[in-house]
Amino acid sequence: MFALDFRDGGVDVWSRTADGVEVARDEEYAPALYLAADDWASIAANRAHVEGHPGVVSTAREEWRPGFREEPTDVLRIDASDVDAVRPLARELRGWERTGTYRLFDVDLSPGFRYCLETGTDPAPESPLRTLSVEVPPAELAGDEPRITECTVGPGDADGASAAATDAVAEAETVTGDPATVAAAVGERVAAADPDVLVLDTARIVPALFEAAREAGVDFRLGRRPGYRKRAGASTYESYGQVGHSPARYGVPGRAVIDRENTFFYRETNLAGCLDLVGRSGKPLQELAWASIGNVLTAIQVREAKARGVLVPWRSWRAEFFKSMRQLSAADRGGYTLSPRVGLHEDVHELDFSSLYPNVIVTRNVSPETVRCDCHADRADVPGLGYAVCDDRGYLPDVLGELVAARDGIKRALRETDDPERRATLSGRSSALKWILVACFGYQGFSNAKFGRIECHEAINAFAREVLLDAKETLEDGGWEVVHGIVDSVWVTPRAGAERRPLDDLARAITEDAGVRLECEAAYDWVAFVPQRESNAGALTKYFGKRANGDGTEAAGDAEGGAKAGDGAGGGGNAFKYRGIECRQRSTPEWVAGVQRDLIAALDEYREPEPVCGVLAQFLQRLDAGRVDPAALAVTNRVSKEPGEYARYTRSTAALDRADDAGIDVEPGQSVDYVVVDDEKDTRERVALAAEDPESYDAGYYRERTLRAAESVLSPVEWDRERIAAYLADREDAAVTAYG
Amino acid sequence: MVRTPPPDGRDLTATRDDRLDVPELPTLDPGITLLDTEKRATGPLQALVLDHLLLAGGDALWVDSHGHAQSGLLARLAPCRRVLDRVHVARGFTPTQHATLVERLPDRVAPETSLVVLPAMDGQYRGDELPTEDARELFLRSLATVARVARERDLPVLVTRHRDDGFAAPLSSAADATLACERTEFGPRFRSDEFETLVYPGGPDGTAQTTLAYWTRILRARNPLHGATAETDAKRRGPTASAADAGGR
Ligand SMILES: [Zn+2]
Repeated sequence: MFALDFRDGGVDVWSRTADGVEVARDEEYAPALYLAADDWASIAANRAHVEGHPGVVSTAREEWRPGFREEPTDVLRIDASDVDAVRPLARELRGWERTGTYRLFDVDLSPGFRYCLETGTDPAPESPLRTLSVEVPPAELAGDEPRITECTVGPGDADGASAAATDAVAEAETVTGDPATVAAAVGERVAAADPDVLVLDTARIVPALFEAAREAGVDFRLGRRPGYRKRAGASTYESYGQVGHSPARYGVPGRAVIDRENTFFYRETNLAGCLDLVGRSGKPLQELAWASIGNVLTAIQVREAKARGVLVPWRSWRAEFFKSMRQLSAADRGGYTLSPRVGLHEDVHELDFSSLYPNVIVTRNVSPETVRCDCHADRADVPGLGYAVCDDRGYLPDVLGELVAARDGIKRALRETDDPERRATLSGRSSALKWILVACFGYQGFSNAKFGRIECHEAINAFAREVLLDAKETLEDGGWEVVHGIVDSVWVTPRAGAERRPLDDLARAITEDAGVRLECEAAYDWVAFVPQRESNAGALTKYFGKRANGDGTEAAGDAEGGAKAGDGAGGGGNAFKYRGIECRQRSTPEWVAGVQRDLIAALDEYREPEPVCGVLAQFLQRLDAGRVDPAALAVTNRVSKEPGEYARYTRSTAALDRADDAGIDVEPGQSVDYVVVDDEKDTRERVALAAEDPESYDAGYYRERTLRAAESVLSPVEWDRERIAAYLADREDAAVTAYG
Repeated sequence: MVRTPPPDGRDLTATRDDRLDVPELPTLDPGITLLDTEKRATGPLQALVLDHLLLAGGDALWVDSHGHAQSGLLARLAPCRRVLDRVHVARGFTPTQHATLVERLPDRVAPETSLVVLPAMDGQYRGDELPTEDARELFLRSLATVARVARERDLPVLVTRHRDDGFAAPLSSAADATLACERTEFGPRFRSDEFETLVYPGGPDGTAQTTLAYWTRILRARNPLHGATAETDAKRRGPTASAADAGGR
């Protein structure tokens, strides 16, 4: 099975086989929701009323657990006439829920997921899917009634999904013409290629093409049957996640539509990653593509719950337990952080706990039904909080244990293969799992999570904190000094004069002790931690350093990050690592970023502030002399508001005004590149657009930005702005004297 | 329902005309007391709760909403840490969670419970999580439960409201007493039908102090009153209201 269409009260189930596509019609399917009460008698008294509802096909008495902590009890299973009848029915029955005696279950499940769950259908396709992409230049889709005059039909981004997909066409082909001609041509090509998956730049293409065809009276199809379906946004189907803007979703019969504008997992991973999660979550590809991480995590948990005889609550009536203010205060402490020790440290090693939170959940048996269990109420298992954790195995550790193991296996396989297609497949899958594992901790604390529990969140935090603190102690006892620690990683440097145990040794001991693997993530010749501005405390995520020779651990560590990661390698080749400083910020002009990287290289060479300042002085001289290419000084600014909404006349406003003059439309969220030409002005003459190819720039403004960048480099070696300025002034004096 | 602290045979109470070194705070009697403040009620609310526990002993059950139960703040206000173990808090982040917590209250109230606290009691029911009618009904049901607890267990219940408007009106009607707390240039002033006091003039820079420092000083200054009960604390405490209340390992 790879796609489902709900129509006329039944379900079309599409499958791909080696020979072609099959469709089976299920007329019998009736989605089920459940009604529970304190006792069966109150349900029995109202059963006839429920059965009289036009949306109800039948009811049955079944035994289910209303929650993970509850015993099985008799509940009423209500079979609805079709998926669209579930919510109206639930809304009507909600009047009862209000009285507090009745509770509704299994209400807000997305239709495809529900179908697979209730009928035991596996949504993972049996054979590789045929994919096709349809792209339209963004300008074509402007306005409320877009007219598409250009459209490209091509291979559906099978980027590494080799095992899971094949391209439905070999070459991309662009069609142009009036909207009706384009629609007809696209329809023909799609029909000829007959893909199972349509990858669209934006699903807004769907109604636009259909509309063009309708106006011209042309017969048009994108699906394997006529027509398309507009589906409501996520918030209507699932209550998890923020309520807010959710774009309309379009589906066509017999194919899964992936809307690049509205997909997390396809964007962050690839089709192989999506299909991996289809199998694990039980969500058909179409629903998986537009699901959030929380949706998928919920789906995985829902499947586990149902398998254990537990129903899915509609509203989160589950509340936290009472705790003492002292416990609350301990729980509020959050993750472990040790502010970085400001300065330049030689010989630094970064050690990370691999998937700390999921592993804490698995090894400490943290689960909504195990934390503060009734059966071990007198025990204090969670450090600092004194909560008990049950000896009975929890469901969350089981679920996550499987994901952790699967990801470890994929990463192992990734290390053993050079085949690029296989690597792409594996890294997509690894990345998909990474996102789920990364989110599982935060999800536990989310108040609307279907199965979350705050105590779980608190316990995970407390255990993780203990793991870090214990590791710190072991490292210190082993002759190392911890210079930085945050959440799941510690940075160490040899303690002077101490007898040292090798790090690998210590990491092994800590791993054994914690039950979570501590890995040597990276080694640096040196690392400099930058202080926060106007304070001596270290900024948590501002540092730079030089990787140790031959250190390749980082590159191998998270291969699925691939080209998208860009975290370590940003800019200056592989030797240096920059984090949080100017050269990593989008808004920093290219030239200033380059100067900063050169200063860091100079610091690496001399390890003294003076020569670095000397290099800086040379750059400033060039800047003052007007010898820097203005194009390299462009500032990229993301527009956050409409032009009129800015309170002051800023550089961005000036840039927006200029863009407006030039007839360029900049929407909030888009960027505009400008060069500052005269920062004293408060008119549009203050800046020039990069596109205008300005010939000059405001040297004073860029001098200031360069000095800021220099300060980040030199502040770890205790040269602040004043010291730098004094050095530069001395030098200029000397130069004047020399010439004078 | 709110009156000045009982004289208790000791000359410790203060009035506006006859200021002694112990500042005055209203006591909380059985029944619902609505604490009405201009802004967020965190300072006076926490001060009243701590003062009550230190004076009357026993434990407080605190059903929180909108982040009023700030443990750090309470810890800094509290003259002694031990009193923090006597405040049992559970937070409702959604209307259904809040309703569930209130529903549990009758079972949670134990012999040692001497106060129930519900800050912003109407707050969770105002969101768009539930249809308005359902939310209002849930709110009224919770209010009825709280009123029943106050009446049947003869307990003081301290509530505040998130906003003073039609939605919260049932809260003020259900309240047996309303206690207004306003900031004046001389410091906060409590006012009810039967009681009015400027808590503690506290020197010329009264308004310049942060609210926190202010309430900390008041509670410290009331220490002589608390002293008597603080000693009997341990004895009174008995079995804790929370089964899993062990404070760390
Ligand atoms: Zn247990």
